[in-house]
Amino acid sequence: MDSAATSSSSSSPSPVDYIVLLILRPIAAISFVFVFIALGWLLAWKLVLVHVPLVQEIFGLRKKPAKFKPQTRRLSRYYNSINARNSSASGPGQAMAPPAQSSRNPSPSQPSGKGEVSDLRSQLRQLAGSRAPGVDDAKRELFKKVISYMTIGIDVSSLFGEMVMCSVTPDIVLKKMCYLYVGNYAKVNPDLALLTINFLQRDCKDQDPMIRGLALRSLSSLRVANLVEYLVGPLGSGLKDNNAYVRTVAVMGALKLYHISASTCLDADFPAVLKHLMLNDSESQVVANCLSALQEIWNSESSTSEEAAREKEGLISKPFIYYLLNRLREFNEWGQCLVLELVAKYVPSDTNENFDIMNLLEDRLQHANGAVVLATIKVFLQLTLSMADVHQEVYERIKAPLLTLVSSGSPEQSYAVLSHLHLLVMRAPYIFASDYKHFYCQYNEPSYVKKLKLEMLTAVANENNTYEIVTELCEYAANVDVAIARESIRAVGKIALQQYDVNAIVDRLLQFLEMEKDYVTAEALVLVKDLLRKYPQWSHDCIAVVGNISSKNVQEPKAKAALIWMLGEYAQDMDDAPYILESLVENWEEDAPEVHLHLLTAIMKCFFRRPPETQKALGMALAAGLSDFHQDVHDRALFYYRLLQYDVSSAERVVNPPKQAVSVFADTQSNEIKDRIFDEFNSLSIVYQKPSYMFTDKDHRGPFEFSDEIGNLTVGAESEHVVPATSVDANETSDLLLSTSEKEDTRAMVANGSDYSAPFYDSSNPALPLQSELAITGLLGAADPGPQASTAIDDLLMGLDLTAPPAPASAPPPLKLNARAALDAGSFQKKWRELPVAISQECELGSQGAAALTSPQALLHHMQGNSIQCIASGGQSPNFKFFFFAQKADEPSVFLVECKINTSTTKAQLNIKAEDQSTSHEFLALFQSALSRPEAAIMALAAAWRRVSSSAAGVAAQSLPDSFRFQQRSFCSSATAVASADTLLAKLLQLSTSQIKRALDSEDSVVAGRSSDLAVSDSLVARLASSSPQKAKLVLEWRLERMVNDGEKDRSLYSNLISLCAKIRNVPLAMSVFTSMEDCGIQVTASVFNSLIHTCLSSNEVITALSLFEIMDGSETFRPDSETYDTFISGFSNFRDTHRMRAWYQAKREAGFSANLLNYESLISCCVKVKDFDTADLFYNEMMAQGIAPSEKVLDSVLEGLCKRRNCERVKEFVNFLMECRFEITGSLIEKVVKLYCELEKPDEIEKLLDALVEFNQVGEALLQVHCGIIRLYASLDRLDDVEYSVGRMMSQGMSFSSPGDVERVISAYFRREAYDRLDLFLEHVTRYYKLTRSTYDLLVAGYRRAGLTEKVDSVVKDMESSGALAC
Amino acid sequence: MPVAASAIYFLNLRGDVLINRLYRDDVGGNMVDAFRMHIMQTKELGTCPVRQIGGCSFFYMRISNVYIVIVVSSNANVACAFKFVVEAVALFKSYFGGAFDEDAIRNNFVLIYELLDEIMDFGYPQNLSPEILKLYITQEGVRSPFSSKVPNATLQVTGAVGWRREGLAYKKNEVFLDIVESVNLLMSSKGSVLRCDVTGKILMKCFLSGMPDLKLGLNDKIGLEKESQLKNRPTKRYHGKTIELDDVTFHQCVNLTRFNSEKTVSFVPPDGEFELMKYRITEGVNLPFRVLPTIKELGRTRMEVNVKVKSVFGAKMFALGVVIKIPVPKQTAKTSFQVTSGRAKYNASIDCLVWKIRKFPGQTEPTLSAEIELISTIAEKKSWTRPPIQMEFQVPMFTASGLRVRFLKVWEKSGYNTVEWVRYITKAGSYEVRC
Repeated sequence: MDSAATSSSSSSPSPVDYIVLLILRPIAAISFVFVFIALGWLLAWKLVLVHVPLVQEIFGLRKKPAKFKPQTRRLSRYYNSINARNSSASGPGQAMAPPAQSSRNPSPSQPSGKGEVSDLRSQLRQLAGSRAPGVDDAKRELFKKVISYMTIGIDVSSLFGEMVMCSVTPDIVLKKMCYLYVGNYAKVNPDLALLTINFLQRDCKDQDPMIRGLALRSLSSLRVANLVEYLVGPLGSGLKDNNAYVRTVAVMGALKLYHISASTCLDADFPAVLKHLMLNDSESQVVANCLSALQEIWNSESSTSEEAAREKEGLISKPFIYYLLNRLREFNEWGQCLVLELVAKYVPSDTNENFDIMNLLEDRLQHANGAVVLATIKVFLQLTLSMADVHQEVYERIKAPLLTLVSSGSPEQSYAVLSHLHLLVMRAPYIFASDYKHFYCQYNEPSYVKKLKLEMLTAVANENNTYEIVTELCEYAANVDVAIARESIRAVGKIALQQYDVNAIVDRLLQFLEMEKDYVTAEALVLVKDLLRKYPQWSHDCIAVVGNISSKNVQEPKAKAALIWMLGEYAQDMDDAPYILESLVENWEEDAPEVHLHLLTAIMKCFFRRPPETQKALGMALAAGLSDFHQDVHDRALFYYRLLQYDVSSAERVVNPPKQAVSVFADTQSNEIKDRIFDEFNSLSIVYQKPSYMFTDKDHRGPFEFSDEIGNLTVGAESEHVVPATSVDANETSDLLLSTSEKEDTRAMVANGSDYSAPFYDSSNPALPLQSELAITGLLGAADPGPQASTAIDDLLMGLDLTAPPAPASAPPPLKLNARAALDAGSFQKKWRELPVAISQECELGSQGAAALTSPQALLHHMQGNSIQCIASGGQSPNFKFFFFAQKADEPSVFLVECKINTSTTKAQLNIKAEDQSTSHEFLALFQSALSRPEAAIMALAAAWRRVSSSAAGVAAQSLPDSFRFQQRSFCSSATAVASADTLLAKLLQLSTSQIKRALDSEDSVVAGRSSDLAVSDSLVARLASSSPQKAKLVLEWRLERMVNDGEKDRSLYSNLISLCAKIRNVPLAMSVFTSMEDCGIQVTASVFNSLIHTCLSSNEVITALSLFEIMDGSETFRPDSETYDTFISGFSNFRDTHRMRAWYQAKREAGFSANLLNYESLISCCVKVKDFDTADLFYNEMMAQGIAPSEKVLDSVLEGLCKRRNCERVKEFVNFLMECRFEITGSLIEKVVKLYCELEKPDEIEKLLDALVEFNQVGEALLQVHCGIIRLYASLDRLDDVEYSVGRMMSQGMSFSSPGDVERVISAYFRREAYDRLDLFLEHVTRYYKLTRSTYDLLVAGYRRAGLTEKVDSVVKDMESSGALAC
Repeated sequence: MPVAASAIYFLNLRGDVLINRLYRDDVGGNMVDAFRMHIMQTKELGTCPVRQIGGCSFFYMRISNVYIVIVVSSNANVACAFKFVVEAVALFKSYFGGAFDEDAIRNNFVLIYELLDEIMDFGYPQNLSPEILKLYITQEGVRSPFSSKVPNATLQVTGAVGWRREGLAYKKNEVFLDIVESVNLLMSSKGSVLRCDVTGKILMKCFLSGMPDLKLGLNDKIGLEKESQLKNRPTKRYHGKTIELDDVTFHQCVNLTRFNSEKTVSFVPPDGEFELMKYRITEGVNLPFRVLPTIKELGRTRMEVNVKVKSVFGAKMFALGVVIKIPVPKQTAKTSFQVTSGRAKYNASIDCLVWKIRKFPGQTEPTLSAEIELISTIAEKKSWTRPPIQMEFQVPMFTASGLRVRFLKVWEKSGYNTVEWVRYITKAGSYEVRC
């Protein structure tokens, strides 16, 4: 305005003075006044008005969060500097000291704590004795100061004495401060702590319960070991205090005492007192504290004391859990967490109980406290673990509460919940698939939350929501937070790799490449590479885009490596690939070793496709590689160089083998680990995503990381039978995809390397390819190869050049396993827990092999044949799980294997743990070859096994594979021959003894064939032996005559004849067979003797048998073999002579033979028969420990033993074990169990047995037995309702009574209860499926007659006549 | 058995210990140093709040200018630990009256020590209910719960009676009920709702004498159905919108068994202020605002931003404190605005145009148009990633979910009259619109 005025005035012609006078001066005056007023307002505003609330309200000043103002004013800066000095000197004490305090303090800015402390001391001393009014307030201020010093770490322990002296006061706050002080310093000053004992003990007897409690808490928090004796008394009375507050404190005090000195606590018998309180106290907080205290005490005691272990078990017993659940509502939220944690460990006995508990706890899911909700969820999950469908419903039910918890509360809380949700999503992604929107990230969320959400989005992606999820993930790719952006790109890639329809995703990935952001491009490149490995068909689209990327824009090693890989792999499709590679080689120095390795390989690949263009680059690369400092790069360059030098086409086969698409990328964590984490739901394990032992035990933290490293360095040395591309090492950590690819390349190379070198070796030396393979593996995979490694590779390459087969010195000898390794279940478990996973791998089984696996036994035998023993097996089709172990031949080092086989996907998941890590890969190769090689053999075995075990003819089924073949043959031939023998048999039975031989002569055509007739006569004799031994003997004599006449030379025929003699117990005949055999000039063998001994033993001629054995023992040609011992063992077993049987068993083992199934059969059955149950158990355990699958007979005997002992628990256990291991449960087995339960009158148990049988899909005889048993039992207990229900149930399953006895029992039960109407109903029901017998009718008639129901009697008689039962 | 804490530390932002309490011996003394070294000095925002250092696990939370750190060495229950911290902070706040920060801690450290003693013993949380603790821990520190004044206190100390003491008397019996909802929205640039949910809570303030029994009726679907079923009066149906609640959690005073069987919220309220229930709704949310952005990049150095915000609630209502943050690139040099309502300015520290409208009536659509000039740089091309537009607002007497209180009944033996006040307010949670 001024300027405008002057400009106007300057333009006017009038003199300047006028203007100044008339215009400027008034303006100046007015503006001066305005400025003055404005200044006044400003001052008023700044000084007064700003602080008036009303003004603040009006101008909206309140809403601003109080920010720390920058210190611009000089005055405030000055004050602050003083403050800062004070607080740095005397800490927070200054800040909270009231003005009076600071005046008393002579030098507030004194910098050291020393003077302060001595100052304090003198003041405390002054106050200690005085009783003046207001002294408490002064004391309080002093105490506050002391404690604030203590907090910031100034040592004020020298004031201990003064503090104690001052603590005699009724003021409760003073006391508390004093207790705090004492608690803090008692540990470092145990002597001084003694001073406090007195006044603490006195306070423990104070009238005010508050003081009693406080004193007791402080007393127990002293943590001084030699003061515990003073603690026991007050604790004891505190536990009995009539005030609940004191009791809660005392309970915790007892726990603290236990931690200071366990023995004192136990000696004072506090656990028992606590237990009493826990069960009887009316205060829930006391109960909760008792619970936590006892859990801790018994947990740590249970390892040493059996009683504590029992008590610990007792905590999760039914009555106690129910007691807690009934009182659950009384507990506060933390107490409820505690109880629920315990309930989660409880295993209900039946499903109804499960549902009861869940119904009771369902409302806890609506609790405001997230910890309670999570604890409840844990209970639900654990309870339903065995019920798959309910488990899934639980997931549905807990979804809403979990999502609420995630969306409410602070980010930290929601992170804790989100980790749990993450676990559940990973376990059952399909359930959360529709809720994917909840996992969308918000812009402002912390990145740890975003990361979890990204993982969950990846997991829940399926056909329906992939589009939305990927769209959302692409939004994140542009996120400010680079780490999250990367994660989201990786997530897109993962989804692409797990989906079938990847069209849209590939497009998006390619868009990423065009986004021109370094990290986006880098991640996308890595992904495109992985994608191409799985879906080679996309190569065309991808390559077009990738080709446009300038390698200069890619800086990250991983991305660069990926780009180079693609350049090498698709060199023929990318025009300028060789030139790009060449430019990369030129800038060799800039890149990381990882890039160099890929560059070398890529250039090699490129060279094979476009030699003239690449030759220059290759030369440069090899030269650069050879002079590289990095060992791996150097070695690889050298390797390629020598390969090329040797033969280019071979080199091509090594470097550029035909690729197979990768079908599955491996999972990072084994299922076992995942399950363990799941078991520790609602704890840190979930957040860390590892089981607790990995981060709580100090021992485990080390090995875990170590084993990870080993896993990363692994290069699979696997057998040639497994296609290398389909299986991928699983122990990847961070960089799953790239390192896999690298590894795979190397492995393919290795495998092919051995292939190609094979022709140069002598084919009769099969160990060598493996050795060379191992050598290469060892060299490439070694973490620190060192100079000797490079010389070794030189050796190897020289070896290749010379085509001579000297084995490299460094190659380890091929792995040999101990065929008779033994390990019992306990130590297996221990080892399994201790050892880290060495290798975890998935392999293909082949559909045939998988199909053969309908019965797990077959596999077990097969593996046994390969010196790999099974310790446990289980599962249901299609999932089987086995635990194997094997031992090295020359040292006690053990390998443990967990093998999960899925027959529908024909995959096997292997987790191998080894005591000697270095050989674990060799073992893996061995194991895999054993698993995959003889698929056909397994199949045949399994099929035959099924046939044999179901057929009566093969009762004596041999379980060992080699003897099995014989069995199969005899079975087949006998099956065909039995029919023709039947007719003959009928004839023979009718003929007199004298006519037998003639009849046989006439039937020559049937019988007299050579070996095929063997079966006929076998069955013939077997049948004759029972009805007429005389005739059987004649048949045999006739056969002998014929054989002698024919001059038969076949030894097996004779020995067969001898064993037939055993059937008719005719030793003389056997002897004559023997002599005639010798007469024919046939060399006797051990097996002939065995048959002879068998005959002797079965005819009770022990002496003869023994002398025969002596003959054998003395001879050279027919020394006793394992069968001889077997014969003796089974023979004495038949005599029930345990003593001698065991002696022979011992002898057999001493003679160097291992026991087989047959031995155990005889041993166990004999022991059971003579009621020597302990020995039987001993043998059974021994057999299981050796990994011999028990036969039906063994199981039968064992069960019989258990039943005879009336040991209900163990019977139950045993039956469950049988069912879990998929043994066929036969009628006779179950009959024993049913009988036992009936005798003991345990209807519940038998019902459970039925449930179990149904659950394991057992059908037929066994089920019927149980049904009948149940009915029988209920009938004898006169529980008619139950009888009717069970009959109905049985009928509805299409079964009917097997014997009239059961029907009669039921009928008599009705008679006893005089329920005639119901009886009628029952009969009507039953007769539809079951024909009543004569005896039943008789019973009915008798019953009705006794009841005086004559018309009923008549109708029954009529029925009987019409059914025709009267006739028979 | 998972404990909640072995030690608790309160640290300020420099890492000085304000308060520490060791409950167990299994963690060492140099924990604060470890925390300072590994967590505070990494300066990484958004690092995981659960970390393992050495053999110990650290859980930490930052509340205003204080770190609360829990240290454990065993496999602890994380959810429980965090919940404990949150509850403890709430407890402290109720003692200090509002703020919880470094100064408040320094001024009350004796009290905090006292409380820490009571609320946790040997690592197990004990009783954190302020109503009960206030009976025997006061700032004056003279009252004992066992004095004759409060005969029933022993029971309450151990939590048997719980949240309310007997013998309360007020001249005027009043109940205040606030329904506070926060709307979370994620909208794509094309205007389709990607994700939307409402988390609501019902806050109560009770000044009632004696032991009243309260019953709350809402217009939620299940409750209504159950009610008509129970009373067998299908004719007298509630008219209007019914709401389907996805999930509900209640304060411990609510009788959950009764809620499950009868679907009515009945309870004996604690004295004073508390959060009665929380709920979550994803279906049928009424969004109070629609944002229609158009951002055009005109060449390298110029941008044009047009944002239209439409209020969709009733014309008689109005929103308060509406703030719309529109992101702009980092290299913004100059901005010029035209707004039809409110004020806008460029905030360089958060790279946003901040548009504030103090009072925003319903059924209106103010617009902002801005021209932005950028500094042209060679290094960063095309790198602006367009963060979402964020919104803050409060709409009183409006609920995004449509939830309404139908009745609030109070029964007490003496049969006094009560005055009930019900308020509704909808706030923005994370209200994001991509552009």
